[in-house]
Amino acid sequence: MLAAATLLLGGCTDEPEPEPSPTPTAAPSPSPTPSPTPEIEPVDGQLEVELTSVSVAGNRVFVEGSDRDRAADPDAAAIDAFTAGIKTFLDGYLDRIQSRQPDATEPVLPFDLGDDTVLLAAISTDLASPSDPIRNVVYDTTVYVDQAPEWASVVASITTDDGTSTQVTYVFVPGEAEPELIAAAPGGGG
Amino acid sequence: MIRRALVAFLAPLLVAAGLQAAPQLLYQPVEDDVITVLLLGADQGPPRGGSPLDARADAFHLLVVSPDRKHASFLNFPRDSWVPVAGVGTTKINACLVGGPERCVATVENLFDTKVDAWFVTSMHGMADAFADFGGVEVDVETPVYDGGADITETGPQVLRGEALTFARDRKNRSGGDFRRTEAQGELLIAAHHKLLAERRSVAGTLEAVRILRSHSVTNATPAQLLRYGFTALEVETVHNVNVPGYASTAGAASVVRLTDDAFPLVRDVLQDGKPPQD
Repeated sequence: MLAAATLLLGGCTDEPEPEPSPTPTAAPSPSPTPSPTPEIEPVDGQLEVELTSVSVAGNRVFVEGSDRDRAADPDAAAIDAFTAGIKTFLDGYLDRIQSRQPDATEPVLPFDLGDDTVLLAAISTDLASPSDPIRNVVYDTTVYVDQAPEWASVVASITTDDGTSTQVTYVFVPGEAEPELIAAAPGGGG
Repeated sequence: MIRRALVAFLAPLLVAAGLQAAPQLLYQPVEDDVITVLLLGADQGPPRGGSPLDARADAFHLLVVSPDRKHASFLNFPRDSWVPVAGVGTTKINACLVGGPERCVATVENLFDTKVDAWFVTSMHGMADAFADFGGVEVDVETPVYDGGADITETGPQVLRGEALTFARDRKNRSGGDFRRTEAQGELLIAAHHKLLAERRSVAGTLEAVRILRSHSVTNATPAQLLRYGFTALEVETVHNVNVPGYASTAGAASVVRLTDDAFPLVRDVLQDGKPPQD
């Protein structure tokens, strides 16, 4: 039926058949331009430090003016070493997060802070990625000091390439070789 | 990205609504099975002379936290408990602090065949300042109390700051004397835990509580231990106030408290799971 209809139609025209048109060639399309990959810079956080005393001196535990009631001068060298170690740790940690392979499955954290996957992500892999690297970090650090540093809380304010800013709080104690991370939480700690 | 925004947005709302079942934080847990901490209030140091580390422990409490961290108990010892004190012989338990906190630890460990993980010692004013610095705690005052420098003349629920010392010290104006006093000290400690959960259930709140504890007491706990204990406290749901049972007696001319036969199994039971057997 279809063939007959074609013949009929063809038989009904006196016009010469048109020359076959040349094989159409597709117009050159612009080569796909990959979205620009953000440049990943090594993390170099800005360290801001304040001290809080945890000494018993002056707190009426010992008799006023007695040996145990005298506050010792903070050990500046130990505090500097502690805070420098924290910065090195967090810079390296955040670097690993922003530089990780997208399909990487190994944990980013080098320590056991539990198995709450949402919270673990909130303090690590949610913070940055190769497509959304870190642009700026400030480590707002409070060091709790007797004579030596006893512990520190760090509110890391992390701004990524897309302009998102996130805060995470990390808590450290001095370790034998480097600061030891004791706790972490999303947000500014409050 | 969405998830982190949700976490940041919802966490404070849940806290404000009292709906947050668990603190939104991750921490290195204490690895011990039960946690046992000895809390001692010395009769020396401000307002008196001497050192709280060479004194009598007139407040004597053993905190036990269960292995699952959901339960805890304060075991309250009457200061006159007549027990074998390590290196001394049988005498009042508060005398152990004359030999330093480690002697008190050895006394408890020998008595109950347990291990004490850490100790804290403070003076009377150190304790009062700690409660004031903490912003006070709410307790129910059953009768006016006076023996502590700041009279508490009103009864009923109220927030005690420095007056917590009076609540902790007075035994002469209460029925039950030393037994009621040590129980009242436990009430203060439990009220402090309630306040931590109600108002400071966060990293910053816990660090502030740990700072107050650290700067108003002497301890052998390491900073890492202190922090882990602080974060562990956020998980504890039920705290029991357990008086170690005894009865008033004498030993020569001295008034003493003899622990009853059921005191030792009771303490050992609490040391197993952080709660008294009837719970």
